[in-house]
Amino acid sequence: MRRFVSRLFIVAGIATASLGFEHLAAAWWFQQHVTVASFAPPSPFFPPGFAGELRIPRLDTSLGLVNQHTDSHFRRGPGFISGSDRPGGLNCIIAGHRDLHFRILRNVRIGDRIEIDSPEGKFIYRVASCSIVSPTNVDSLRRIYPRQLTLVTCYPFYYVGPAPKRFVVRAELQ
Amino acid sequence: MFPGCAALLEYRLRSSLRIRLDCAGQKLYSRRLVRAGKRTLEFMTLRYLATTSIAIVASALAWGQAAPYDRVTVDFNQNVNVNGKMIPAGHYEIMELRSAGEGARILFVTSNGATKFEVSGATVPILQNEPAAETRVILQRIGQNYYLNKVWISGKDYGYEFPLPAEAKALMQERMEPITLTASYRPPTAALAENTRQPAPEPAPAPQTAPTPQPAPQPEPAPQPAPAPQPAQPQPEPAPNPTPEAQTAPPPQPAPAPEPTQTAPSAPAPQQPKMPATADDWAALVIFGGGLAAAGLMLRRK
Repeated sequence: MRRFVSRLFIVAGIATASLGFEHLAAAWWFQQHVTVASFAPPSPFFPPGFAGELRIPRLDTSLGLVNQHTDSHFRRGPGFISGSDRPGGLNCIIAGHRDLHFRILRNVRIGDRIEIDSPEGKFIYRVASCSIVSPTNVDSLRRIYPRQLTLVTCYPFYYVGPAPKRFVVRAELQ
Repeated sequence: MFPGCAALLEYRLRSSLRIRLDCAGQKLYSRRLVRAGKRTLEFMTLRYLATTSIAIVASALAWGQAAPYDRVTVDFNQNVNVNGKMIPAGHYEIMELRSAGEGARILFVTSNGATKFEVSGATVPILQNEPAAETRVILQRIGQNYYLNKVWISGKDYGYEFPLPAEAKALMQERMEPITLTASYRPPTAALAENTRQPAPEPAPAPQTAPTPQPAPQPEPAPQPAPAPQPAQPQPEPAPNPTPEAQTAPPPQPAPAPEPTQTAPSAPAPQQPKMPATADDWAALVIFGGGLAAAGLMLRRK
């Protein structure tokens, strides 16, 4: 009996850990093949939701954006949340996982340039503010600049489990 | 004290290197001196340890009893709304109280040399790249009222932001809300058409449903009777000089048929964005899985 339970634990443990690594690999895979994904026919690895590219030149970062806003899509890349405008719109809100792609936001500074290349065109934003808010504070997603880009992720960046805060970066269209 | 230490050091060095002096008369230090040096060293070590521990305990006590907090004094020239409460102009002290559990930062506003409590409120921490050059208290003017908005502390790269009260937000939103007026489209008259003749303006399919026969001779071909009512399609450009008039009576026409009114860019019903969950927690999965597997292995070993 003990042997059976121990085997069960080991198998379940390996499966759970593999699931975690699969999330990591999926994120990496999509970002590596994002340019191919934009042209390739849809497949499980190349979903049709590629929505553009977000670049932060100072941090030498380039991220593929996804259209959909479900959990499985956020795993592949940052995406537009429901109720967001498209890039260049009044308030384009992009969310991403703090433990995957948007961990880079911890190094974002006011004045940084953010470029978005999308089917709507190329837009250049300048970071205007960074704030840490509570998850219930939806007002922090509101538009305060004429044309705004809002990047949202969890905070603290290094935290196991559901993070208690949100990190919001607001950038203004140049 | 020091010759003793030096003697001890040399003695130890000699004994460790096994240096032996061939001549007995060259024994530099007596055993007594060496013993004294040993005692001195022990005493010094003890003293050093005691001093260090006292310093550590004292600093820990000081830290625990009085955690460092930010304190700002400011003179308000006008009445200021702080967290929904209007406080009159005057000299105030703004103090921070860190709640250890939540991490939220609460600011107190006091007057009379920090003896009279005025108002308190939870703030949102805000960050900036460089430490602030000077301490600043920023008020936001909305309508006729001033709201305490931000506090930046000199030499620190963080500050405090008071969330605006609901009425202030409503007022701000009201100001930002696009105003949509219903207007009616009036086709260009002959004179207007004369004046506004431009090089090849594309005769946009005017959103006219009832062709009105114009008695006056027209320089341009009369607008074609509109073909079958087309489904709303994106119009490239409005016709020249559409002269939209807000809430004006339509020109005397026989039947003010339901006109596709030219309105300001219609604002789609704004969908309230929701704060997304932005953690994948792959690390938690890996840790949990590793723990489970380790537990299984341990169970097997027993």
